[in-house]
Order: sequence, then C-alpha cells, then structure tokens
Amino acid sequence: MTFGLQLFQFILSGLTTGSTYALIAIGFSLIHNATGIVNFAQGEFVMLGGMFMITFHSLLKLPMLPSFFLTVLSVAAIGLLLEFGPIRRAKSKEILILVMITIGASISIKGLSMILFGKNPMTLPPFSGETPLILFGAAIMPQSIWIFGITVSIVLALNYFLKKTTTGKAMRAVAASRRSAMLTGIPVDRMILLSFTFSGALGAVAGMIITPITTTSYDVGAILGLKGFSAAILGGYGSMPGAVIGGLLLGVFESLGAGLISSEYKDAVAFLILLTILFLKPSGIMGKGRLRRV
Amino acid sequence: MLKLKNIDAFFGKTQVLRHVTLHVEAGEIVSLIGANGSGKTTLLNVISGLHPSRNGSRVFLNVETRGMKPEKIVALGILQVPEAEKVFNPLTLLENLELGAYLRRPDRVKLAEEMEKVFQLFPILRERKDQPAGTLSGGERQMLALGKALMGQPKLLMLDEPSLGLAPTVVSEIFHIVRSLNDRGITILLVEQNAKEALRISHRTYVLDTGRIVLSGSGQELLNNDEVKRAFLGKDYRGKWER
Repeated sequence: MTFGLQLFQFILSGLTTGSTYALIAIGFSLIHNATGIVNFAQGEFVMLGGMFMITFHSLLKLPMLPSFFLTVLSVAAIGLLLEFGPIRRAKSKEILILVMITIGASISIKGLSMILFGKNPMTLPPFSGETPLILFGAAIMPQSIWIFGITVSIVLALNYFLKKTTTGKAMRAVAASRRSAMLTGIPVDRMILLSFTFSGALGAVAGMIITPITTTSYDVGAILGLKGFSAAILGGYGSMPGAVIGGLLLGVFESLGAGLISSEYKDAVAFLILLTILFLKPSGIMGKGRLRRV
Repeated sequence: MLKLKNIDAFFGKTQVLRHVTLHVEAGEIVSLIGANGSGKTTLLNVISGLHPSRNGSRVFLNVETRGMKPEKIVALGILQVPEAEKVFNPLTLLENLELGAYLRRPDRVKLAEEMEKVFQLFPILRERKDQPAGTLSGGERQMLALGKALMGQPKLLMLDEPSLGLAPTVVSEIFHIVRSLNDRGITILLVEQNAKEALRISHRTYVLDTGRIVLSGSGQELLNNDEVKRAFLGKDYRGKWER
C-alpha cells in the first residue's frame, strides 16, 4: 500500500469515529447553550445507547429499526429525567453545583449499568454486513457509511429545527439571553428540558452507530464523553458548526496519530489537542471570543 | 390596572425594596425615577417575575401575580423591555420579532401582518430585517426591542431606561414613540435616569430612594418640587443647592 493510500485510509476511518465525536459534542453544546453547564453524563448517554441497542436487538431479538427508535426514546427519557429530577430540583442553581450533579449522575449511571449489563465488553452486529467497499483503493466498512449518513442527516435535521421552527428559534434565544427569553414569554424551563432530551437522543445514536466498530462496556462513557468534550472545545464550545468540525478533526488527528505513531497513543492525541487549543485559542476554531462592553 | 402593595425584595440578606406601594391605571404613563441603586430595575424585575418579592401583593387586572413564572406574567400582558440584553443578538430581526409573539403563536399570515405594523412604526427595521440583531446601532436595537415587545401585544409596557446611551436626537424620537404607543392605548411604566424628560411625558411619577417610594405626584408637581430639582435635575437648577 502506498503512503498516500494509507493516509487516505486513516483519514476515512478518522472521519468515521469523528462523526460520533461530533454527535457527542453537539450534545454538550445543546445543554451548554441552554444552561451554561457542562454535562458530564453526556458520555454515559453514549454508553447507554450501545447497551440498550444490544438489549433490544441482540437479547430481546427485536428487529433493527424498532430497536433503534426504542433506544433513542429510552436514552432521551433518561436525559429528560436527569433534568426534570436532580437538575431542576437542586436548591442551588450555581453552575458548579449543577455540574457536580451531572458528575454524580454519570457515576450512578455507570454503576447501575455495571450491575445490569455486567462487566464484559459487548458488541453489536454491523447494520448491514461486513463486506468492505473499495473507494479509490481504500477499504470502507459499510458501517462507516451508516455512521456518516446518520450523522449528516441528524446534523441537517437539527440545523433545520434550530433555524426554521419557532421552538428551535426559542432554544437559540434562550442560549443568546436567558433573561431576555424569560421577558419575551419563552418557557425557559421547558427549553432546558428539551435540550437534555435531545442530548440524550444524540448520545444514544452516537452509541449505537459506533458500537459495531469499537465494542462497548459499562465504563466507556467517561472516555467517549471526554472525546466529545475535547471536540466541542476544539470547535468552539457551544457552537454547532464548531462541534461538527471539531469532532471530525479530532477523529482524523486521532486516527493519524494512531496510524503514524502508535495506536497506544490514540487517546493521548485527543488530550494533547485539547491542551494545545486551551493554550493557544481557548475559544476554539469557530469560537468568537466573548465581547465585553467597556 | 397594576397594584403593588407593601412589596419587599432582597438580594441575599440586603433589602433592596422596602414596602413599595404603587399603582398604575389603564391608559397612564407612569414614570419611576431615582438614583443608581435605588431599586428601580429590581422593582421592574419583581413585577415581571424575574426577582422574587417577599410580603405584600402584586395584583394585575385583578389577578395576584406573586409566585407566577415570568412567561405567565407575559401572558397576562405585562412586557418589559430591559435595559441590558433587550434583544437576541445572534438572531435576525425577523426572528426576534417572531419570538416576540411566541406565546400567542399566530399563523403565518397573521404574523406577517403584525410584523408589517411594527415596520410601519419603525421603517428602519425593515431595511435590516435579515441582519442579526447584534449588528444594529443602539437606537435601532431599542426600536427592535420595542417592536419585539409590541409583538407580544402588551397591556402594560415597562421600559427600563430606554434612552440610556443614545444620541439626543434618538432619545427624543424614542420618547415620541413612547407617547404615541400610549395614545394607542398601551399603559406605560417608565424607568428613567433622564428625569426631566420622564417627568415631562408622564401623567404621574414615583420617586424611589434606597428602595422606598419617597415622593409621588403628577409630572408638573414634581418638576416644581425643590427636592426633586436638587436631586435629579441637578445642574440646570444650580441656585437650589448652592444656597
């Protein structure tokens, strides 16, 4: 295999995992925009996505499509409950306290999952076979095409929702100014609930599409969450296009790092990028840097 | 229309409003003047449901509004144009206006008609309708904020320092608009640091000092009140305080 072809192969596989990071990063951004907090349970949503899909599809033998939607609904419901329960009922609404609550939720979800699903790594069959397609001499797994396709559709649908529907515009309004949104009559609580629900659904999808490639176990949430978080920072925290660009770039860097240096350092690459961005341009690629009034 | 009785409000343990009692009748322009930190903005936020009040009652159109969420209060017809964060900067003008009608969710045709009315009132906004609100000048932003509030079909419109930071010509334009809105039947509660102008256009005025209502009366009465002249009309009335 020529070096050029190898590079092409790495980039393709990087874009595949990068798509999942993008979905996770969007989940982070949605919640951040509505509430200003970092949801550390985001990675657990991804883990739950894989686990529920395995439960519905592999254990309960439900067909692929119903399992897919049941999983999305279940994890979305968990996102909703996280907001409706502990977050909403917290006595103090301080950011740090709310972030601590999400960390607590993350630990609880991980613990419960260990008891429910056991400690063994599990996997899902790919959505449609394992015969690789050959594109310009590089091999692409059909699952990668599913991952791209699903990610692109979700990004487009979400973009349509946020730009064209009144509820979507109201969500952006809450992100722009919570105070002004309240004074306009927008039910801010409901928008926050919606952002948690969406983040749950996005996490579920990310978990389902990546599990056939990477396998899953009860403890993958933390690392996936951190990857998505790094992607969000890289792209500019809170920015939707930033989340997509950050996710894809992170995936590619990681894959190049693994392929050209050593796969042992795959995770280190993500954190090296995170640190570099924090040192050099903390607002990220699409970040504007906060304007201050003098 | 709006009756506040013995309202107390706190920031932590600091009391910022003390037994505030005031009323606004339908069709009036009532202004609220007072030094920085006297509690004017807090009072508006209490009325809007953004800041909790203790004790007393807040009745609007015979409905007690204590403990209501802000969106419920907006639904009753009380709209506030705050001093800061008046509009949604990243959203376009059209989106801002559309969200102004969020609670009523008018259909497309009705929405377009209502926006047309706003554009007739503020023609400059039409030219910029697809721009993000953050790119507007201060005066245009104030107009958009007024337009957005009008989309909510307010019964009581509360304006927090609408003239702050605007050029003098724009200020008089804004006051002119406030008056014409009042002529159309919208009741107005105006908080102003520009006391002279506020006294001139309002039917009645309350003076707030460290969280208390210390004076009230018609604009004309207060314009002639020595205390008001000394405290708020300052330099134009040098003789009064250099006695």
